[in-house]
Amino acid sequence: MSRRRLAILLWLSSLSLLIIVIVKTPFTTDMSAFLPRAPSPPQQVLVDQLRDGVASRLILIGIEGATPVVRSVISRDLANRLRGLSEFELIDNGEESISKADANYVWRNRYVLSSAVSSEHFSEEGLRQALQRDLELLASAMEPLVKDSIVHDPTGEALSLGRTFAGDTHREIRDGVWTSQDGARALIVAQTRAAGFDIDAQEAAWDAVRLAFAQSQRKVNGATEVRLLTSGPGIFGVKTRAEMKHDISVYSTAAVTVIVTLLFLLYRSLWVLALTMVPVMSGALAGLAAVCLWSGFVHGITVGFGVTLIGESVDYAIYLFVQSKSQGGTQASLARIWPTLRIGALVSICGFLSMLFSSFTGFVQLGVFTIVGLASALTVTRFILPSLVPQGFAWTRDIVFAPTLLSLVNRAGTLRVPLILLTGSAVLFIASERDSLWRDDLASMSPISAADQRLDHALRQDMGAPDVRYVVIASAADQQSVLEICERAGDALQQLIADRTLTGFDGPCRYLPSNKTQIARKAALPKQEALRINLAQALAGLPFAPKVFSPFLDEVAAAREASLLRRESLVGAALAFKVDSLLLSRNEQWVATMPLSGVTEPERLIAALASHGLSGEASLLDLKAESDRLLERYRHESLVLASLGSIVIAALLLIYFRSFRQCAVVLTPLIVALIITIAVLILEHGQLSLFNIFGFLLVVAVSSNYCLFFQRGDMHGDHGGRTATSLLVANICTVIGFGALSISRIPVLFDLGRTVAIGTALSLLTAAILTPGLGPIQKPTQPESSL
Amino acid sequence: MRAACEATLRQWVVLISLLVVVRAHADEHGVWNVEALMAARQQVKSDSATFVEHKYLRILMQRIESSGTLHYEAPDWIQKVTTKPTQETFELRGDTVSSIQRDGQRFTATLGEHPEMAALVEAMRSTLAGDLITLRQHYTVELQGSRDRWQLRLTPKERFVSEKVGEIVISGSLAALTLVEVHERDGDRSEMFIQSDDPR
Repeated sequence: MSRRRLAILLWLSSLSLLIIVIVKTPFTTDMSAFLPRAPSPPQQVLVDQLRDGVASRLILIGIEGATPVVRSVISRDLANRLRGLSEFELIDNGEESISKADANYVWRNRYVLSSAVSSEHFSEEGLRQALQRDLELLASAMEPLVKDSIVHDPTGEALSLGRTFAGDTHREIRDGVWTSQDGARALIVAQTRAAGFDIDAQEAAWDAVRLAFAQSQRKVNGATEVRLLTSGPGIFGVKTRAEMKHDISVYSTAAVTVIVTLLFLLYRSLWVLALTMVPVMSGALAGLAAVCLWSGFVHGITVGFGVTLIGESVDYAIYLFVQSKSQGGTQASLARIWPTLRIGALVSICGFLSMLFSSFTGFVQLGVFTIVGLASALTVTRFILPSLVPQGFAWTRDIVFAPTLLSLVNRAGTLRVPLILLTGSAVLFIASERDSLWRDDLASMSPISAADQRLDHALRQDMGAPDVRYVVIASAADQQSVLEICERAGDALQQLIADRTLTGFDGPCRYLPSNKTQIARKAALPKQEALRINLAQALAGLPFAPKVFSPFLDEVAAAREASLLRRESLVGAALAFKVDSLLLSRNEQWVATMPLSGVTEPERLIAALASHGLSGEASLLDLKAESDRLLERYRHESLVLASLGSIVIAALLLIYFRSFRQCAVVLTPLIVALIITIAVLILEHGQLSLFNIFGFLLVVAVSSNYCLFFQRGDMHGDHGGRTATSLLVANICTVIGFGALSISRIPVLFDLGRTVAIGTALSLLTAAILTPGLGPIQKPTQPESSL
Repeated sequence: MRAACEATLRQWVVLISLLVVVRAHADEHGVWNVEALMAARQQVKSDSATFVEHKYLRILMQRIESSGTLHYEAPDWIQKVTTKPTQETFELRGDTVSSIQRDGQRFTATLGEHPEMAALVEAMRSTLAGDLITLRQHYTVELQGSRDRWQLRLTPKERFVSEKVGEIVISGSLAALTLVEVHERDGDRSEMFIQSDDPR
C-alpha cells in the first residue's frame, strides 16, 4: 500500500472513530456551563440562586383581555389544571393564600411562632390591654372574623402571625382570584419542580402552561379574547436558548452558503470546492470529539461557536489552492506555503491555549475545540489534502483582478502616514474613555429583549414579588445556629421597617424558630394557675361573660407542654416549601436566605446588622453589585489570559524568526488593527464587554496568518497576485462568517461577530500598509524553512 | 386563621343588604312584590347613609353599640366608616375586604378564602343586579308587609351558610331601607338601623 493510500485510510478511520465518540457523548444546553467554577462564597450564593434558587423556578403568569369574570374563570381553571401536573410544586392564583394544613400549623403553634410572646404579654396589665383591644375589635366590622377565636386567643397571636405571613404587600383579589392592582390582569405564580437552569425541564413546564391555557380557553365561553402572558427566569432561559440556536444555525448557514458560492465563483470547480471543505469538516469533527473526551459532555453553544472555526480552517485550503502554480501543482504550492501555515496555526493555537484556563467551562470547551480543530485541519491540509488531488493537479485558472489587487497592495505603503495618525488618535480616544471602557453590568449583556424585560418587570410589580436585588444571607455550621442568627437579623430588620428604610422581609425562622427561641417563648407563658389569676384580674370591670376564656387557659397550658417544632412538624405544602427554599445545607454549612423588599438605604441595613453584632454571620448581599463584580472578575481574568496569550505568541514568533525586527513586522499590523478595532467598537457601543476580549483573541489568531504571508514579502508577479487574492478571499470568508453572527441580537454572538469581522478586515489592511518591503522593489525576508 | 375561617356571616349580610335595599323604586301603582323590589334596585348606582348598630354577643354580658356612615357605589364598593366607639374604616372592594383600625393597623381578607362568605356575597351581588334567580339559588326569599312597611326575609339554603346563619331580616319603608337584622344559630344577633342621607 502506498503512503498516500495509508494516509487516506488512517484519516477515514479516524473520522469514523471521531463520529462514534461524538455520537456517544451527551449534549447539554445547561447555561450554568457558562457560570464560574470557583467564585467567592457570596458569589456562590448568587450562582446558586441563578442556578436553582426559588426565584429561578418561578413562572409568572398574567391573564389579560375579555371581562374580569372570564379572566377569573380562566384563572381558576388554569390553576386547577396546573395543580394536577407533576412539573409544578406550587400554584398560587390567590384562591387559597394559605392551605388548611398550614393554617392549622400556625394556629396550633401560635405561642412559639409569635414574636410578641413575652411574660409581660401575659401579665395582668398585658392581658388587660389585649382584652380592651378585643372589645374594640368586637365593636368593629372585623367582629365576624375574630368573634370565635377571641376566646382561644385573646392576645391575638394568630391574627398578628397571619398579618406577618401574608406580607406587607397588599394583594388585590377580585372575583376570587389574584389580580393586578388595577384589576386588568389575573395573576398566577407557578413554581416548577425542576431547577431554573434545567432548560429542558423549564421548556416542558412552559409548554405545559401554554397547553393548559389553551385547554382552559377552549372550555370557557367568551375566552377567545383572553391572552396569556408568561415570564420568569426559566422562560428567559428557554427563549435565549431557542434564539441562540436559531441565530447560530440561520446565520452560519447563510454565511456558509455565501462563502461556498463565493469560493465556487472563484474556483469554478466543484472538486476544488469540496476539497476546500475537507480540512474544515475534519477539524470540526476532531474538535468536537476532543471536547467530548475532555469534559464528557458538549455544550450546545460550543458547537455553535465551533462553526466560527470555519473562519480560519477554510483559509488553509484557500491558501493552498489559490497559491498553487502550474509548475509542481498542489504539492509544490504546499511546500512553499507550509512554513507560513505552520507558524500561523501555532500562533493561533497559542492564543487559544489561554482559554483553557478560563473559569467558564463553556470557554474552556471552546478553547479545546478550537485548538484541536485547528491542529487537525492543518494536519489534514498538510498530509491528506495533497493525497486527495491527482499528482500534478493545479488550480491554474487566471484570476482577472489579481494584477489590480497586487498593484493596490504594493501602493498601500503610501497610506502609512495617515494610518499612523489614525492610530495615534485612536490611542488618544481610548485613553480618554479609559474610565468607562468596560460594560460590567450583567443586565446590559442579557440576551433578553427589551419587550420581554418590560413584561417581566410589569408582572413582578403586579405580583409584589420580593426585591430581586437585596437579600440577607446568614450562615453557620449547624441548623440551630443559623436560625438563631436569622432571628437576631430579623430583630435588626424589624427596626428598619419602623424607620421606613425597608418595607418587609422574610426568613425561615418565622416559620421554624430556633430551639432557643421556642424554649424562651414557652418559658414566657405563665403556669395555668398564674395565668388564671392574671386573667381574672385583667377581666375585672370588663363586660366579658364568665368562663368564656377557658379554651385560652387550656391551650396555653398545652403549648407549654408541647414538644419542640422541627422541620418535620411542617406538613402543609406552602410553609414547608418556604422553609426548605430559605434554609439550605451545603457542604457541612447551613445557609439561610432572607429576602427583603423595599430596600431604600442599603448602607443603613449593613450598619443595622453590624450594630446587632452580626457582621460576620449575616450579611447583606447586593445581587446586582455581586453579579457586576463577578463579571468584572471574569473580564479581568479574560484580560490576563488574553495578555498571557499575546506574550506567548510574541515569544513564539521571536523563537521562530530569531529577530526582533521580523517579530515586530508581524505584530505591528496586528496591534495597530486591534487599537483601531477597539476605538471603532467604543465609538459604536460606548463600551467593551467580556465577549469582545475573546473576539480580540480570535482576531489575533486569524490575522496573524495575513501578517505572516505579507512578511514573506512574496508580493510580485503572478505568484504575488495569487497570494494577495488568497488573503483577500480568506478574509472575505472570515468577515462573512463572523459578520453574519453580528446580525444577532444576542450580545455574545453580536460582540464576538462584530469584533472579529472588523478586526480581521482592518488587520488585512494594516498588514498591507505597514509591512515593509512591499512595493516595486522586493526585499524578500524569508526565514529558513523546510517541510 | 381559624378566626377568619370560622367567621360568621352576619356582618357581611348587614353590609351587603345595603346593596340590596338601598332604595326601592317601586312603581307606586304596580304590584308590590320581590320582583318590583329587585327591578328597582338595579337603578341604584350609589348611596350613602348613617347607621347605628347593636350587637348582642354571647361572650359579652352587655350589647355593643356602634355608629357611623355607610357608602355604596355600584357594582361592588361598600365602605363602612365607624366613628363610635372607636374609629375604623371598613371596605369591600372586589373580593377583598379590608379594615383599617384606629391605630393604623390594617386587616385584609379575601372572600376566596371563605367559601361560605363568598357564596353569600355572590348571592347578594346578584340581588343588587336584580338577579332574583341567583338570589333564590342561595336563599328562600320572602317579602312581607306593605309598600310602606315591608320585611324581606332571607333564609339560607346552603348547609355551610345555614349552619351559621338562621335568618336575615331586612325591613324598609317605601324605597328606604331602615333595619337589617341577622340572627345567627349560636344565638348572637345584630341590628343595624339605617337612615339614608337622601330619602325619597
